[in-house]
Amino acid sequence: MSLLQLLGSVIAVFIVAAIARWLFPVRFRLEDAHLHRELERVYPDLEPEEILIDRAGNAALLRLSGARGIVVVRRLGDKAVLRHWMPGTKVTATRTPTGLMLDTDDFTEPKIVLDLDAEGVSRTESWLALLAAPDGHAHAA
Amino acid sequence: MPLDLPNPTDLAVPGFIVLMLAEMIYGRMSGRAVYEGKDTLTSLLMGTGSVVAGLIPAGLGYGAAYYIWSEWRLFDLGHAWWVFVVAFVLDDLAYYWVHRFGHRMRWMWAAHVIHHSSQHYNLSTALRQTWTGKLTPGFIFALPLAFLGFEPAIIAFVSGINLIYQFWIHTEAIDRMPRWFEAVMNTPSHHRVHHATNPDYLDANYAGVFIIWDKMFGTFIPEDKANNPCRYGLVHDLGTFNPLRVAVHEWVGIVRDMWHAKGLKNKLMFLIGPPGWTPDGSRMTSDMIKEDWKRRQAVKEAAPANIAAE
Repeated sequence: MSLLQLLGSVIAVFIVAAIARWLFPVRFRLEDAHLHRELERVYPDLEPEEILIDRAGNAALLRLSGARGIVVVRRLGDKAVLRHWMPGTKVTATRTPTGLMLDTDDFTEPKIVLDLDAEGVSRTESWLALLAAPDGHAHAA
Repeated sequence: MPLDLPNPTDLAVPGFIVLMLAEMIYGRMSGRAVYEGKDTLTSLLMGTGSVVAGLIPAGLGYGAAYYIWSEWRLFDLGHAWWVFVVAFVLDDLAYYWVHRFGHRMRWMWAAHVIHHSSQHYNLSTALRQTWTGKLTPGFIFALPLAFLGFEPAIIAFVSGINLIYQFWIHTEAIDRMPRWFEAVMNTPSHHRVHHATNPDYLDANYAGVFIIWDKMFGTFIPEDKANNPCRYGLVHDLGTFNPLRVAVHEWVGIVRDMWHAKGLKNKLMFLIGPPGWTPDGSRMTSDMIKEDWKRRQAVKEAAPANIAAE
């Protein structure tokens, strides 16, 4: 393959992807019913106790019953990706002007940006604090 | 002087593009094929990167094949047309095994996982190819053909034809082919099962061109579209479209695991053991996932009977 062929291929790649984007626009937001279905499929043993979906519908946190941690769901194109953060998982939360940015050392899951109001931020932070608690339960101060 | 044959996949690229566009338009009109812009971009960039990686001299693999062919070959098979036909069939048998090991050994899975990393199943998925195949021992599976007397250039040529065949089976737009064809050849239906993450479909249908290898070696599972539609991707899907992360994520995982593993045996098992293997069983291999799924099914099936008995 010559350099010219390679250049032509790269241009063709971007054109084909642009056509795909045009023909199949993504109109997908995370919603409760969808989150339950995905959880049942990926982590059938886990039960959500509380669900928090961010304002953009791009990400959601599911606090699990039985102090089993959090499932984080992120929209990836027209699909969803789930991760189970068990108690003990190290999560770095950084406040942003529109909510929170969460980061772990998971190479396959880059930073998760949550569009949240002040109440959502504080709920998320309290859930994340549970991950750091030795038994995954909240303790009175 | 090695035989000078073209690379069939390079010649097929315009055809790939036309067929992808046709599938998109058909999918848009019928709903039987779905694309997503970023997913398509990642798949096609992986394909382009794979071609670039292929330009790097094959080194060990190709060199070893030529050495074995020139020094130790059993027969002088030459370049007759029937040699190409026999090479095509035997190369497909070798492909079955290299593919099976590609799913069962983490070292080889690190390269092959890329092809399975899309949650979509369309013709662009066929082009989502590895950049790191040459870092695996996959070339070993082609050496017996060189030993038999097939010139490595012929093996490379028929491998290219094999890859071209596999392009069209990456589609949901085709339901079933005629019964005789489904019995002998790999088809979209058979290959959908191979790409599915449904627990009962895992580790099945490794064939490239001829599905008979799966039937011979006990890995064939037919698609049950009505009761068990395929769900595509990885058991733990990637949370990124970044081609660099897609290309190296499993290698990063192997290095991290080997680094933290205690003892040489554990370090080695993270490389040559099945994907998901851990010393303490804290992650799940495909065998464990299947066992777990069977256990759940048994509980589900027993539940109504128990209720009735009460």
